[in-house]
Amino acid sequence: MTSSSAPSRKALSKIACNRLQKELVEWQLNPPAGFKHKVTDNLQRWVIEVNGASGTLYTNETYQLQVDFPEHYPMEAPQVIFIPPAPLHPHIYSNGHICLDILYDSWSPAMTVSSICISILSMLSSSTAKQRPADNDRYVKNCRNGRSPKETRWWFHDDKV
Amino acid sequence: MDLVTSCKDKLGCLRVKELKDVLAQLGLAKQGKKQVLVDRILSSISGGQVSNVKLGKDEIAKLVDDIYRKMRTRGSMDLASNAQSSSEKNNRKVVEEPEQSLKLDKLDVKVRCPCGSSLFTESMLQCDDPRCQVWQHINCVIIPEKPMEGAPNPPVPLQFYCEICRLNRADPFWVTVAHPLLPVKSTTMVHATDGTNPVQTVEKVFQLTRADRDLLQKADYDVQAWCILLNDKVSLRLQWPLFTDLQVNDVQVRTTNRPGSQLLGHNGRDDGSAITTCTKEGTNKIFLSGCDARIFCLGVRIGRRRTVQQVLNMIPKESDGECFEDALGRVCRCIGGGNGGETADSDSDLEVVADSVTVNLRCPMSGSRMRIAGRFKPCAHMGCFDLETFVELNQRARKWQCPICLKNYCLENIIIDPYFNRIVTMMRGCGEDVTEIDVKPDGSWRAKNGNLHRDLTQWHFPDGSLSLVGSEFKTKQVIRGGSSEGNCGLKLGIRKNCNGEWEVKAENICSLSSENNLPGQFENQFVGVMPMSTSATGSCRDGEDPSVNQDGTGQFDFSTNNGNELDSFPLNYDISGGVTNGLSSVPLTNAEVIVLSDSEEDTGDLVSPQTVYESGKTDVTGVSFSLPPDGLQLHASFLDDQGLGSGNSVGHGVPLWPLPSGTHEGSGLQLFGTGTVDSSSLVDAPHNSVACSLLMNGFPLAIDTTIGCATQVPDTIYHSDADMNDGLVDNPLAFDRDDPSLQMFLSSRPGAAPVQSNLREQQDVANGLRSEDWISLRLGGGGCENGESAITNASNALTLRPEVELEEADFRLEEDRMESSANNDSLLLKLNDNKSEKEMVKRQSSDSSPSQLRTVRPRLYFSVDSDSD
Repeated sequence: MTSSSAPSRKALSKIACNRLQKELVEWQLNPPAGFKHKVTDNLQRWVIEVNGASGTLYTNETYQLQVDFPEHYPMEAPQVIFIPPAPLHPHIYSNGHICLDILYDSWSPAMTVSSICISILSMLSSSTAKQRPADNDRYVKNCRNGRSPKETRWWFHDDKV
Repeated sequence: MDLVTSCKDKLGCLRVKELKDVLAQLGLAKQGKKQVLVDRILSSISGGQVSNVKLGKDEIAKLVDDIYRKMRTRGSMDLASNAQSSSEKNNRKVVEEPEQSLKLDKLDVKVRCPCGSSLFTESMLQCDDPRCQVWQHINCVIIPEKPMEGAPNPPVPLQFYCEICRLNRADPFWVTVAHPLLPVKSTTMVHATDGTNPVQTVEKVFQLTRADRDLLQKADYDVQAWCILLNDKVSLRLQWPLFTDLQVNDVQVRTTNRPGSQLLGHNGRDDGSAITTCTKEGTNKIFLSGCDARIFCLGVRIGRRRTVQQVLNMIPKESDGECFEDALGRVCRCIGGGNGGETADSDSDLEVVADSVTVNLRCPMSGSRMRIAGRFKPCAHMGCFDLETFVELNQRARKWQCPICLKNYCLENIIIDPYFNRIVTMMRGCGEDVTEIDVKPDGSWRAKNGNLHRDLTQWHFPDGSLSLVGSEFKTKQVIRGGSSEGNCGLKLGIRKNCNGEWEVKAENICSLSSENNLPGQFENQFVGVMPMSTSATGSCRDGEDPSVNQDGTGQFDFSTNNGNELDSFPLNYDISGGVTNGLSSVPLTNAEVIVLSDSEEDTGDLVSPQTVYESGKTDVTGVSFSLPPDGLQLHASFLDDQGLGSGNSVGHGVPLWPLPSGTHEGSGLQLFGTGTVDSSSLVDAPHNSVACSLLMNGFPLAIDTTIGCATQVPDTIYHSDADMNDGLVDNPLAFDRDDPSLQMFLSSRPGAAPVQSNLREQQDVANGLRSEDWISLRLGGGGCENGESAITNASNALTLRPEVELEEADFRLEEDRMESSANNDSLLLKLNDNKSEKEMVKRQSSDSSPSQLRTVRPRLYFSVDSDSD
């Protein structure tokens, strides 16, 4: 297995920049419930606060998502991870990587940060057990050099949570 | 038929190319015009002059026959691929019979296979690209996912492209100029023993001429090494093997950015490698190795870059990509089907079928409103993207994937969506904030939030012309108990409009059906329906409609009065188009109907409904009356692009309906007048709207007043109503028509006296319904010809009392006007307060364009039984 460094931080393309600005405006007008965008001057990396939905295992818990946008967003998916400590969830590794198909193979440029957030909250909310993925230790070890989750070959097998 | 004759017929069908093939087989000269070639072949068959023909007559005839059949097969394939219909592709060109294949082999069939052999064998497959049509060995190019000994052959794909055609489609930003190295399959050199992937390699040489090198001096030319996975599920992309090592003239060249061990996801795309700098004139060596069990195919090409603009130019013009009717049909399917595609928020909690759906015009890629609406032609959904953004993004991404449904296509599948492109084109002048439209199942639309662009917030027919449209307001409101939105109510019949009949199903409440047949002119029959919702607000659903706001007047709440069920009254208007014609001879039925309310009193009650609108509208002020729109949908029929307008011709021009509401309190204008109340205010609104509508009609009806005028307006309105009524009245029983086009059931309170009039111009009178709660009117539109509408009492207990005295002629005139008006928003008109009716009538007579309008005093009273629903 070769490893590569963190995703290249090439500046956003013009289209990506425009699109993100629109998303940000839209977010400010109409933020997804349970999320808060932490204001920064960095359009390319958003930090979003997630509040566990009430009535779920994560009620009253707050986590932070880090969303990094590639140069060619939205043709390429953003990299979305939880900033540790990540929530205990069967599809969330302790290093914050999230096993969610829309972040990788099933990404569509029609999706937005907002729709990603809603998917993640939905994933959290439908969890029935607070536990790490079975292969957490092995995976996290493999990622010690800062690999991006986008380089992982994910198997999306569980459509329930 | 003897041999010569049959051959002659076949030869006549062959093109010069095939004729030359035949001559080549015969060893004859191939020069000459077509007729010369044919004659030469025929003479050889008939044993003529040509001495060097060694084949017998029968053999020659068979040869001709083979070529003829082959051409026919290809011809049909061409058609199929042009039509892009995969269903027609079943004529797979797989050659199974050795006998035939041998013959084809003789005929210089183009065989090019990555295996390197050009032998025509028993199982061949032909590329579907009409310009390529190369034959390849099935065994070489169709590779099962999991090779197993003895496994049955994998199925041949419905559509097969050879590697070169796949390459060309993978990235339209490169156009292939030459192939110094035609694609060759990699060969597995070392079978791994440890279960890891075997090593595979390709080592080839290719030549570059001086001319090639000169070409490469230009900036936009490059030599590119490319690699395709033969059985890639994502067919139209490049892919390099795992752990690729590419060397050109012993210089290592980078191929991909992904780690060698990482498979290319189905969302990923590899690119060709530019190797220009490593090449030289003459012989070059290329070496590829990879550690991969799958079979790849390597090639070298000289390519020229295309610019974004050049690629955009390859996309067919709007008119060439898809006909408008197809696009409209798709939209109607998506909207009418309930959850149409990506349409946004449907109120799932309501059983009621929304009469329109919000569609976002933002490009999913850019987040901005589309400037040119592009789509992939095979997609069933109606979602589009901004063409320029999409192409520009794909310059690098090379991912010709629909952003909405994620299906993979290629550039040649892209078209401009004629329906949405028309809309976004019309919205070019709008601010960026206007990104949503409401779309009805018939394809008519209006912009949301376009406060600064009032005209766009009115309902438009699919063809972009303004429609009267009924008001939507009501419906929803009712349902929601007054919530502003009015979606819904119209379940009705919009769909049926096509027939020209409307059926309003307001559940029990009111159903209007009008039938008008529009005259032939319009092909379409327009039915306009206006549903009035009980809800006080007559306002448009969204409340956005300016016209509609519900003020609070609330006078209307029909709902209360009626059982709520009725939420909306549908007013049906026939659309103007229908009107005009209809009256005259056309079968069209326009429904003009209206309904309404409970006016108890004979007198002015009718109007009342109007007020409602008015109030709402007034608020808005300028609002156009669109209100009616909901109710009225003139267009429905409009499916045809023609749009009423055209039909009406004049149509648009008509504009002015006099909606002057000013004076009247209840100014009749509004469709629903609540009687007293604010008519004036309403009126105003109406005015605006009215004007528009008028235009629609194009009839010069003369609206007496301009909207602005309070007094006058009403008249006009009334007129329309009256007309309507008249029509209704007159015919009432008479209607034979099958279609009772209009059936309106109104539930109104007695007191409320909301009347609906049909919009026809004069309708004023029309509905003075007394019925208390609900009135269901059915107008037999059928009588269109007569121009009269028949009203039949709905099964419901409606009793109509047509008191109108309109003359038919008037009617017609009126109708015409009506039409126009109707189109506009005619609906509004109807409401007259009690006062209004009479007055209006009078006014009409006076005001309205005298020539056309006659005095009409139609008073219809409908008694409705509230019970009846």
